[in-house]
Amino acid sequence: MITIENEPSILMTSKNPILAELSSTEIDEPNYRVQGQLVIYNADKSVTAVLLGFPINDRVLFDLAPLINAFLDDLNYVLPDLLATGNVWQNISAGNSCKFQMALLDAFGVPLAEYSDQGSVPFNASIAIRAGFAKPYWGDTAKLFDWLSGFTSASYPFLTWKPKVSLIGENQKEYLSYISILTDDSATSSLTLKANIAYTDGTTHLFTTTVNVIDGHTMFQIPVGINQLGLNGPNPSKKILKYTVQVFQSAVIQSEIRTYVVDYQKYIAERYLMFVNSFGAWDTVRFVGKGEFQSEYLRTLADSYSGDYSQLSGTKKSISQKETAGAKINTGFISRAEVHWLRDLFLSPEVRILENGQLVPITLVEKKIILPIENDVNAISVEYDNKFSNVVYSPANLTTA
Amino acid sequence: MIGLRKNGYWLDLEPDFKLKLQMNNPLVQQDAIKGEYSFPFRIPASATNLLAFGFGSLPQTRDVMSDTDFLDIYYSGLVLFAQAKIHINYQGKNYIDMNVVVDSGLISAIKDIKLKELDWGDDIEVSSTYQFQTIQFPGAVWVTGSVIQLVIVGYGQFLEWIGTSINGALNNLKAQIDAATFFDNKTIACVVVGDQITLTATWVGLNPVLYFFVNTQPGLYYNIIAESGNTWFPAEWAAHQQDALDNPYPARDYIYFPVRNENSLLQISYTPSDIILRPYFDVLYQNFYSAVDGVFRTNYINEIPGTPPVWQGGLITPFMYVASVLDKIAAIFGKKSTGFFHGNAISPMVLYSNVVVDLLKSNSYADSIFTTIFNLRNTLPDVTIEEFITALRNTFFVGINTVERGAKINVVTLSSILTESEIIDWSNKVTRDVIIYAESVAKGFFLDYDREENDLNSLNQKEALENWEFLGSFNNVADFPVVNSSTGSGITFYAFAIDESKIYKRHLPPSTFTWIWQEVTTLNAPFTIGEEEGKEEILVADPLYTYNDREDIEGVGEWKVPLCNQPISMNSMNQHKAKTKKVRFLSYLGMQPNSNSDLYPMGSSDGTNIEGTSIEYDTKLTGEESLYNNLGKEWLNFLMNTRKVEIPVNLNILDLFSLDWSKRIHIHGSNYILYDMQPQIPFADKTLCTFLKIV
Repeated sequence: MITIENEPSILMTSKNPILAELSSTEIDEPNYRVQGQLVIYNADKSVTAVLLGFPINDRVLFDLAPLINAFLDDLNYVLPDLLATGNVWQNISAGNSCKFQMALLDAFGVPLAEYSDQGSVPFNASIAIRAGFAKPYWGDTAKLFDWLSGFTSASYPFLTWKPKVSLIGENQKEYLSYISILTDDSATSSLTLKANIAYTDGTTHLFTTTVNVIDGHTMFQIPVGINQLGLNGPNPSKKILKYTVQVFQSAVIQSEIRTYVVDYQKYIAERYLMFVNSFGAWDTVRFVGKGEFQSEYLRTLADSYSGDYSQLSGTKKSISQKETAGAKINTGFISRAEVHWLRDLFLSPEVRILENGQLVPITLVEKKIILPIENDVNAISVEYDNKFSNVVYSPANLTTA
Repeated sequence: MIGLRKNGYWLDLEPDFKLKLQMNNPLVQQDAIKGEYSFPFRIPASATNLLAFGFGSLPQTRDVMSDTDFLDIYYSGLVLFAQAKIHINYQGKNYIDMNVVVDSGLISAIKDIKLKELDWGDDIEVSSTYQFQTIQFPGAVWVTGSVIQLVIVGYGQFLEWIGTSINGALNNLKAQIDAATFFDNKTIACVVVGDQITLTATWVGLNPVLYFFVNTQPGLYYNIIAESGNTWFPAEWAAHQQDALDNPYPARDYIYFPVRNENSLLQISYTPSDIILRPYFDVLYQNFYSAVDGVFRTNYINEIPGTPPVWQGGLITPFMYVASVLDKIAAIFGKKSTGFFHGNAISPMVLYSNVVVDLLKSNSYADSIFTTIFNLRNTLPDVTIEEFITALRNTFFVGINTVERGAKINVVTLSSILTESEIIDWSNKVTRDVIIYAESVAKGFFLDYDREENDLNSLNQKEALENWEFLGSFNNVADFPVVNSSTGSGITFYAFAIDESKIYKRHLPPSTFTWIWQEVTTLNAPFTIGEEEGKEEILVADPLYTYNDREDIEGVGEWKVPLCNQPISMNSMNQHKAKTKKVRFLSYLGMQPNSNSDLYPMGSSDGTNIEGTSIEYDTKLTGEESLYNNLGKEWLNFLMNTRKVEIPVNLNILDLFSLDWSKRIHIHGSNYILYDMQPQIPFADKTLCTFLKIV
């Protein structure tokens, strides 16, 4: 007899164990095994993997995470829509989550659901997002859905570890990612984002974006920058000191409050890195410190002799020349909390720099960051290379006459 | 993280232990089933490891200990390979050398098992009750007061008889038959109506052999005054026909086939001891069709020419469905088989069997009459699983694919992979480091039939021609001589000519001016494609020809049954066993009516049914609907034209867990078939994969 001891919940993270655990009374049977037929799918593709399970100490344990994570690693992250405004919540699930379902079969390929003494097999379809929690804070059997369910509605988190209060540039593209557990993945709910603006003159204004109907268990990206939300619209003559954002369902609060303090200081350069954080969501880091461009060139020559020797024609020709460009940029002064948050940047699988309205793929080259733990004010330098090579040059700003 | 588990122990491994595997696409391999294996590796001879392999109890010794065993390979907590076969070499040093033979499909592990050794289940018992036919007592020879004898004959021999005096009433005979017992405790019921007596035995079971007659003068065959009808097993055929109709393929594992077997025309003569009978000739067929009765009889006994034939029976020939054999192979691992042979419901393939089912249970006639048993095992060719699969592969150009990590054994047509299989995109898994091999996979193919000594065409027809008388042989039809008349009178000449692959015949009768060359046959000389040099041989199963002539028995409605030339053994009562050593196939077209509207199981090897309408597959190499045209051409051309391309691929664990060799792989604008790969576990950034390029 097979009893199901543990099965994935509705919402899981792919970088932590996703355990399906069974206990079996067939331990004495030689070569007894159950098979797990795991189907992982999203809108584009579906992969079936068959897992062989042998009882060890009367337990059969399947960890589905390596397979699901491998499936997700083949997806491309959905890039943030830089033109999106507060009215459009961008669905980024396609690059960040998949569904999976597992049926249990006995050694002869017969579904265990046909047996009367079984639990809930096949397991219900679950969703895994390309995310994870670090040890030792996250247990092997912890489940994302349970974690999210543990929050009160007023503390329900956005998918970021960014400090809850942060400085924001006037033109900064900023996004908050949100996954609703209010309803299951087949049902929708209507949510609004409310921004409470505090002006420098001490007055306030409650700004509400239009209602967004979203599917449950789907990851949405909400643009929350000043221009993205159009926060200067209601009172153009006033100067925004700071603003808070929060998700509501009708009048009911459905998220934590995030506060953005507007930084009006003028810098020589303001650069933005966007990276995929440990939830698989896009975070923005603002760099206001000094930067330096750096690039490497690789040239290949071949002998080329046309019959007549001439110094002017030479005896070699260039076959290829390549440039791999990069830069070193500095955050400027940031808080201790932000330094720790930036460890998420250094672990990110996908980092982009915002250049000319484009998100250019880069890879960080830092192997080590060292900062005094006790410092309240810090600055971090980040060195990166582009994830592509150029063989021709163009200026950063291509203009037409 | 990789883990090796043996006998409940997790083996100690060296730090950064890596397992390097060689995995070959089983679909592309032409010759044998290679399977998948690891390169040799070494593990420390720790206490745990020694214990796991049972070396712990050995005294310290430098002797070589090598062994073969099984272990499970885990990766990231999941069973990557179950019951991998390992070769261990421990020489008392501080390490153990081993390598692993893994097989995600497990077929290679069982390839040497003979088909007959699989579990074919219990003996199959065929039985039905039999009602003797009515005997009409002719009044003219009915002599009151004379002695009369009821004789029961079976299997060509006298079984029982009752002698009685006739008192002018059949009821008197009835009373005595009622009182008699046969075989210790069996009785025959009699019903008398006028001059007719009807005898019924409910105990006979499937008895194709009983025959009885009434004799007025004991011991003299020519004094027979009345006899029963023939006995065979019409009931079984009727039941089989009904079952075959009610449960079409693939509900049944086998189908009873009529076979015309030239080599089973055995002549046997005998003289029963108690009754003087003239010698008989047993002309034995396997399930030959009786035009007289419109059913299949198993054999018949021809008496001395000039006397009416006396029928006897005793033989049925089951042909297994190829799909059922594959199911049985898959069942070794509790798996299912699917694909080509299972989907081919219109004309499923069956395996030729020349085994005459042993209807005789023992040497005791009494026992043999009551039951008919056979075992499917005995109907199979004497080959291993590998030979069987090779025959399938070479004949139908199919591949055995073990999908879903061996959960299913799927038979795919190789040409369909090129155009119809699912495409997976690996473009984001590769770099641009590509090696293209200039040499193609194959230069040419040499296809020939894998013949057995007694096969009809074991001599190819060019060889056979040497035995014919020639007027001449010519290079092509245009060169055939023009002959305006024959000077011969009353003499028949034949001229034969060969035009490349066909043999032509013409009849040279006297006074015939217009001569028509008639095609006799197509030569089945080896069939070659591609370049002359470096050809690879592919042995295709010898086609089983079908016979659809009506000369054999007059008045037969036209029909089509397997024709073969295999010896069978009938030398004693329960020795009906025979063997085939090679695999041969036939299309089964279901129960079909012949031109007399009698149902019979139709087989076809020439791609047509009895009306000459094309069916799906001709089991021969050449011809319109031939295997080569339908299935082989595209694949073999592909092998001759493709190039091997070696590309490092960023494989991950899911790719290995969901590996399906039959899928096409798309990489930057081209489609490929995976040929082999050398994954390293744990996965390296790049796994070297060899592909065959499709487009």
